[in-house]
Amino acid sequence: MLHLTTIGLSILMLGTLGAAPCASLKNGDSELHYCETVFYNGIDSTQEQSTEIVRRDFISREKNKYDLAIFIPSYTHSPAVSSCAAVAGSNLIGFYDRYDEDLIPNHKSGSLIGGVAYSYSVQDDETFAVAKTLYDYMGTDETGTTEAQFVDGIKKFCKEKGKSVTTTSCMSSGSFSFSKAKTYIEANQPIVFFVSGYNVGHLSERDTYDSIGYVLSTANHVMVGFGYSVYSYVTAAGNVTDYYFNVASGVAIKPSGFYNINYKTRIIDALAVDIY
Amino acid sequence: MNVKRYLKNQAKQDRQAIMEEDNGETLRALGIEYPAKKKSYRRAWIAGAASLAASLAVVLTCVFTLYPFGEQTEKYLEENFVTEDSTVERMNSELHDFSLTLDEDVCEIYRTYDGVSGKALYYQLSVNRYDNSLHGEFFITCNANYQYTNFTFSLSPIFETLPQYSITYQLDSTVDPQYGFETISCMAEIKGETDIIYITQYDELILDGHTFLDSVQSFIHARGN
Repeated sequence: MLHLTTIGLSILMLGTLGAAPCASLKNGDSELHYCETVFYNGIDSTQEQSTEIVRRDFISREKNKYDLAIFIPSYTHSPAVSSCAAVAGSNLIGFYDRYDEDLIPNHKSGSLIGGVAYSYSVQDDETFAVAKTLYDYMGTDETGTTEAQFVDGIKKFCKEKGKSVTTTSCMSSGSFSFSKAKTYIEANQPIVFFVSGYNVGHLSERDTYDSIGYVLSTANHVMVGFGYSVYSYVTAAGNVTDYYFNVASGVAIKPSGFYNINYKTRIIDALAVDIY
Repeated sequence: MNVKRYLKNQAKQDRQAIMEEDNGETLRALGIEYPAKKKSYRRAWIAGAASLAASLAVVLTCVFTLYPFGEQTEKYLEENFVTEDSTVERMNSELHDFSLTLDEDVCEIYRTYDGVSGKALYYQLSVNRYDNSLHGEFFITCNANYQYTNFTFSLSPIFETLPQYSITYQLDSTVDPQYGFETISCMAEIKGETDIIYITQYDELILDGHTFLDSVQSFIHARGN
């Protein structure tokens, strides 16, 4: 009873603070967690973005990398204002179009290069249509899209195609769990990131240092991760580990790249999505 | 009476002559008040004013002749920007210094213009090779009054003079540990007198040995070449 009261009070307090229970709790996910009711409206405004270069000097470096494709889907076409969620949704649908070409009719999802590396095609009129449909199904307006609206829109789109959708949160005790996300990526499930403030960059490796050029924004944004990279360094100041996801950013000037989960960003929620 | 007036005038002339000779020092030595250098001040003021007027005339002439008022005062507000689908043909018609040879089937082109003046500001291109081994993103400004500021090289760039134009670029080559392919990632800036081509992202699988500069020169050409 006391426990229920505590939960009830917590919900009430979180509600006051602008948070609500996540609509995406997964069956089997015993942990009750909350996500804020946030409108994601990251727009591709070049004036609201900035650039930054970060250099990581090291004595030695180790990396662990896994990608679901050599060139991931990286569509950026915005059907209307505040449509980052719809664009992210179109990248997600584009990924699964590889396994069922009927998801996006008349669109070639990509091709296998050298018999081993899958490379996704770039956006076209058919992927634009997907983004527009998702924008409508998510009920997006100029204020943006909530996480619940995103999930509902994806489910509605897939249901019409005869597909089912499962979403699983990669949060643990209110924080992002890299190990959970890694597990789902390795199970061929992309991760949808709901973030406040984002970065997307390119990492250049050199013998004694790495250089990461970022495009940054403070906007609430939705991006899709199709791979991960872990860079572990021994530096003069000690050991450092950087965690990245290879994301479709939805940002026109940098449609794909590394998202550093600990750099000028806050992950509000992250969902592994399976479409089957 | 006439003699008196004559003497008075003569005294005034003498006094004036003495004053002009030594700036009134003699008169002041005799205890007679006299405003010193009054005439000199007036002359200096006139000379100064003339000099100032001449300087102003020169400065204003230079400013009005050399300062491009018509162009520089044209400011564009982002809330008025309008983006629309476009074509290679239209883009080439609005570029001043370059032309691009691209197959419409492998690229997406967006034109952004100022909704108030109707003037084109920039184009954004996504370029893809048929076999999906090349993805490129281009931001091309075609209006001298629009500045694109979100472009920064993350590595020390290389400057190279090509037959048709010069290019500043960074090149990053890696062998993908998962798939074993060599991939290159590049950024580049090609400046014309008015147009500036920014290659914000360029990822290519190196399958046949050709280089980034080969690819760039195959579809970006300077006007008149």
